[in-house]
Amino acid sequence: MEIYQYFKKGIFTKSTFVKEAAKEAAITTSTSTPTPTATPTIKIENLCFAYKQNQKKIFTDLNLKIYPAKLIALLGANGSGKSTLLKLIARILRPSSGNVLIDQMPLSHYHIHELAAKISYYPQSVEQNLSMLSISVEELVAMGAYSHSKDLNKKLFIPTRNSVIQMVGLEEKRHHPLATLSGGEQRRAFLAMFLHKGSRILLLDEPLANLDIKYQIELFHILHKLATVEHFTIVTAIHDLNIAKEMDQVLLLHQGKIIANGDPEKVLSKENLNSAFELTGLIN
Amino acid sequence: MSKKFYLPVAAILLFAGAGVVCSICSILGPKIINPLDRNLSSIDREIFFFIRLPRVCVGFLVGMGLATAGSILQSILRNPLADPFILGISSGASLFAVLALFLSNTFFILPVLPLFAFIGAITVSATVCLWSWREGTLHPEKLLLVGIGLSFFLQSLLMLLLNFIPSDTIRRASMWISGDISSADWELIPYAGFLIFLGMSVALLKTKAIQAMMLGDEIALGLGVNVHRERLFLIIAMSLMTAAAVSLSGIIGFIGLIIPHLARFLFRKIFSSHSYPPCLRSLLLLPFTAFVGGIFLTFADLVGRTILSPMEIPAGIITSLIGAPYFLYLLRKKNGNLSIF
Repeated sequence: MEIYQYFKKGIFTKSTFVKEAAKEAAITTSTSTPTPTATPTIKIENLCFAYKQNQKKIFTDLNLKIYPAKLIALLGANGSGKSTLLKLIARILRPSSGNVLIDQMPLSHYHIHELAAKISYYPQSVEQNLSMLSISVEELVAMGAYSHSKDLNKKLFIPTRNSVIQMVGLEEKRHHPLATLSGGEQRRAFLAMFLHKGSRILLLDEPLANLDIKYQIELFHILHKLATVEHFTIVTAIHDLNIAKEMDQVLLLHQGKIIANGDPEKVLSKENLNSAFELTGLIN
Repeated sequence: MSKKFYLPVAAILLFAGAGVVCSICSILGPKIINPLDRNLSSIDREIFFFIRLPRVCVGFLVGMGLATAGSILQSILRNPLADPFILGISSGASLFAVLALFLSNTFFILPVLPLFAFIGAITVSATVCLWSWREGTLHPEKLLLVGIGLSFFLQSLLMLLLNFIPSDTIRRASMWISGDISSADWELIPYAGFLIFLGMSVALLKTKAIQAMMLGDEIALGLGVNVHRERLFLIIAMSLMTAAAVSLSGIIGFIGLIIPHLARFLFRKIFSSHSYPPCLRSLLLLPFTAFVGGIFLTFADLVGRTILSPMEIPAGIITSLIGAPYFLYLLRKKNGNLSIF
């Protein structure tokens, strides 16, 4: 099978998304958002990391700059370090050496509440925990305010609970228990919580996995709007080349190294994918 | 009503409710005793103030402590089967309590008993948590198995210890194994009550952390919760409550596991999310669970000492007889999944 044909054709075309987003941008220009600057939001300097001291290093001397107002895809084979990289940026894991800088300040200098106001991380296995919870969508979103404190709130623009629930399109289900929602709706509920938290960097580990096309498009749409209109920095670890093609930037990871970084058209070349996914010999 | 009044109002309601329940349960029994009656005989007075009232208070405190401890454990370990009894924490507390009793022949100071029970409880909780700790996270499924294993070990130790205990203290010691509130007196109530309220206060102050942790450690961290520190605080609070309950009544297994589930079910019926704001609901759940636990054990004991009077049925039997079928009924219901918060 010609795998490239599959993703080149695409299920949805970029133009529709961009047009839609542009349309919405014209409507919602009133929201106060900072203008994107040339300073990177996330800067990674000489990052080294291994899960255990004697084990093989997952990252050696990784350097990376991520600029604001971008929707970024982290692409790579299983075990290439996508999730680990997201966890390192979210300070769930601590690097063995090297630095991660958020808004030009090292990650280790942030107080846990300050960091919560900056970064939101969505791990892969959240859904497992949800079946046992009886909290409603609104209660989940309200939990976003846990990290708020008076002096932090003055600096940040924090959207209200109602507005974020509206933004992700869950008004009608706001009182429904989280466990009764579909996978796509649950993820949108979490997104609403992150927005209510006030963080402008979203690190999402496979946000679109196991969703049907409708939910994928809905969620992608929201993410795209956040990046283009609200100038959020969104880094997603994904597997779907189709979706990667629609993103602003693609980072191709292979065994802890970034082998390509840039526009989707350039990065998703046959040669790059061959080496990232070790496909040589499997397809023509 | 402003948010800052929620907690005091909830606390006042809880105390008032507890007072009403305790008074009613003390008045009722095989013979109804009205303490306000001026012609009350001295025997009845004695029965009311020194047998029934302490017993009812112990019932309420133990029910409250165990239900809250179970509820906290289920939330922070994200496991609907967690409870101080299954995890061996009650066994640890009772082992140390019996040990205190064993040593007390030479020196016996009363507060030593809850203190020893607390040491036992916290040792077991720490062991269970450390044993199921791998690569920076707690594995809830492993934790349960470790707890069960440890619980068997501790119970054998307890049995072994009983062989060496002088026969005059064996009656008291056997209480810690069977779980009994009929021999309650005023001696320990102030100490244990203090520990239970201390534990409750810590848990109430940490409600946000409890809620965040049930979404998973990574999400909780993102919400600004220092997961490891908060979990440690909550485990200490839970151990305090378990230790206090065990030193009052011995091991009563059923309450910590089932009451949190019953309470959550009732809570959803009474305080629906349509009519109550999220912050009020999250704050009220723990006091409500405590209250349900208290009422449940007190009424179970009332039934136990009344229906077959003068014979007494231990409260633990009644709680299981009433609670277990209702619990099974809840599980069969359409939305009767076990929840952890």
